[in-house]
Amino acid sequence: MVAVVLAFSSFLLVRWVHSSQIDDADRTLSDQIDLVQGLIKTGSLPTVLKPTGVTTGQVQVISGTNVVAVSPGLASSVRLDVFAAPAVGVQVAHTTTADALGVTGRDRYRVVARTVPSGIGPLTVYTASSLHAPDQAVRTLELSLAIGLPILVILAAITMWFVVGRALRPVDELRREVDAIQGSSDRRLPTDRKATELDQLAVTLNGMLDRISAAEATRRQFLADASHELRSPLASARTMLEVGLAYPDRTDWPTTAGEVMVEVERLQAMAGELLALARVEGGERALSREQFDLGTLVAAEVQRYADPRISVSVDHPTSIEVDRVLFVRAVRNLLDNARRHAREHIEVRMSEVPVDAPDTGVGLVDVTVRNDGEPIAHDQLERIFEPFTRLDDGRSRDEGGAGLGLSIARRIAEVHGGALVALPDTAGATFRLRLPHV
Amino acid sequence: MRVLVVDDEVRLAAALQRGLEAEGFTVDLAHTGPDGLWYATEHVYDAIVLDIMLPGMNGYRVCAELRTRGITTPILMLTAKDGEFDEAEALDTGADDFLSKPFSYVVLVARLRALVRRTRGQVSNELAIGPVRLNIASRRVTVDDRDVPLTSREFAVFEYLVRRADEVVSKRDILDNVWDEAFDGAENVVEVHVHAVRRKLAVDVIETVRGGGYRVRVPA
Repeated sequence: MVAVVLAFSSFLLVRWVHSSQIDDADRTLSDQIDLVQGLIKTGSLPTVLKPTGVTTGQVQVISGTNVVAVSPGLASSVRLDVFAAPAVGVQVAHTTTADALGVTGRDRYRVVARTVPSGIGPLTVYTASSLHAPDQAVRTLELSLAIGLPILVILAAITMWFVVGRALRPVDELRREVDAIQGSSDRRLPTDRKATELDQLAVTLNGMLDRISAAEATRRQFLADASHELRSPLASARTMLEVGLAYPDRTDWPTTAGEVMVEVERLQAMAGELLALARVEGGERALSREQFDLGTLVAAEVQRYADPRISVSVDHPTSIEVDRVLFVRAVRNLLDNARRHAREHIEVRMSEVPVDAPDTGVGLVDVTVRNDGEPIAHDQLERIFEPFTRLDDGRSRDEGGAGLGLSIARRIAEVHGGALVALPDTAGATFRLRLPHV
Repeated sequence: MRVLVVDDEVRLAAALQRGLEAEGFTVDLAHTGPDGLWYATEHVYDAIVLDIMLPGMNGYRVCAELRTRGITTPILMLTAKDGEFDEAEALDTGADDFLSKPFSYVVLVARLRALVRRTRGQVSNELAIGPVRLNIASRRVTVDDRDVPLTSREFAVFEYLVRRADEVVSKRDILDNVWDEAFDGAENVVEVHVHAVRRKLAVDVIETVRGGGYRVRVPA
C-alpha cells in the first residue's frame, strides 16, 4: 500500500522535475529570443551574434531557408529549424535530438522558435539549448528513487510491524488473560495497564464476569436449597421406617405410617413445585394458551378449598388467555399462602385496570388476594418472592410450605406478560397478580 | 451413653430418639440452634448429632461455638444440602464426623459408637473387668461366659461405671449420664439399679465408697 503510494508520488515528482527543467530552459531561451528580437527591431542584427548578452544556447535567425544570423561557434552543419516556422508573433517550443540538429553527441535539445517581423520580412529566431544537465539530473533522481524507494518501503514496513506489534501486545495479553478465566473462577482481569482504553475494556469485562459469577452463585444456592427440601422429607421417612423395622414389635405402625405419609405428601408437593418451576423456566414457548373466563376459573379453584374464610368478587366478566395448568397453580399458590396466614378473612377480587395504550387494545386485569393475617414488613415485600424464603424461620416446614410457591407464582405471571407484587398493607397482606386480558 | 440430637425435623428427631433409646442410649432432643447450644453446654453428652440447617443458628455456628467454649464432645453433623463443601466445612469447623441425608439408620448408630470409642481411646466394643465382659454393641454382659441378662438401664449404669473403672463415681454423675433431661427423680434410683446389677452379676466388681459413690475394680 505504502509502496504503491510512494511509487506513484515519485513518478509524479520525476515528471514535475522534468517539466520544470524544460520550463526553465524555455524561459532562458525565450529571454535570448527577446534579446535577438530587440536587435532585429533596431535593425542592428549582426550576421554573427557576438556574445552580446546571449549567454547560453545557440541561436540561428532564419528567413525562409536562409540563415541570416547565427551564434558564434555554431557549425554550419547545424540547422536549428527542425520544425516549420511559426506564424508571426508566435513562439513554439520542441524537444529534439542532437542528430536532428546535426550536432554531435547524444544529448537532447530544447528548441524554441519565434517569428518576428523585420524590415526584410518575417524572421524566425531559433534557439536551442542542451538538455544534458536537466536530463542528467532527472536520471540521477530516478536512480536514487529506484534504489531508495524500495529500501524506504522495507524500512517502513519493518518499523510499522514493530510499532503495531508493540501496540497490540497489551491487547493480546488481555485476550490471553480472558481466555485463561474458566467458568466459575474468581479471577478477574488486572486493571493497571498503561493504555486506558484497555483498562476500560478490562473493567467492562470484569463487570460481565461478576454478573456471570453472581448468576452461578444464585443457581448453586437454588440447587442446594432444592436438594435440602427434597432430601429432608426423604431422610425423615427413611429413618422412621428403618427404626420401625429394626424394632418391629415395639413400633406403633399406624402412627408411623401416618407420619411417613406426611413426609410423602411433602415430597409430592415439593416435586410438583419444582416441576412447575422447570416448566415455567421453559419460557413463553412452553406455554399452551387457551382462552378462559377469569372469574369462572378463579371461582372454581376457590371452591376446591371449601374454606369459608374466602370470598370472591368480580367487577365484570373478563377473558384471559393463559396456560391453564400454570395459571391455576399460581392461583393455588396464592390461596395456599393466604390460607396459611389468614385469621378470618381472605378476599379475592378481580378488577379491570384501565390502560392508556393507544392502539394495542390490551387492557390489564388484576387478581387481588388479600388476607387479614400478619402484615408483611416493608423491607420484606420483595424478599418473600425469593425461592425458599420463609419469613418466619420458627414455623415448621409443614405449615410453611417449601418456600417456592410465591416465586413460582411470580414467574408464571411474568411468563404470561404480567406481574405479581405484594402491596404495602398495614392490616394484612395483599398480593396483586396483574395480567393482560383479551 | 447419653446423646443429644439437634434437628428441626421433628418427626426425624423423634424416630431417632426411639431407635437410639432401643439401642441403649439416653437421648435428649433439641429443634433449634440456640436450644441445641444450651443443652450441649448445660449437660455432658457422649456424642451430639447436629443438623446443619437449623432455625435460629445454623449447625456450623453451634459447632464452632461449642469448640470455642472448650467442649470436646464428639459431634456428628447431618445435612440434606448438596456438596462436598458442606462436609469439608463441617469437619473443619470442629465436627468429628459427617453424614448426608437421607442416611442409613444403622450406619448412624455404628458411627456414633465409633465416635464414642475413639474419644475414650477404646479400640473395640468390648469392655472387660476381670471375668466380666460387656459388649456395648450387643448390650450383653457375660461372667465367665455365663450370660447375664440386664435391663437396658441396668446395662447403662454398669457400662458407665466400667468406663470409669478405678475412679470413684458419684451417684449424681451416674444420674446425669444415664438418665435423660426429663428425669426428675431422686438419686435413690441409682442405688436401686446398682443393687440389681450386683445381684445379677454375683461377682464383686462394684465397690461402694462411703460418702463418694461407687467404684468398679478388678476383683481381688
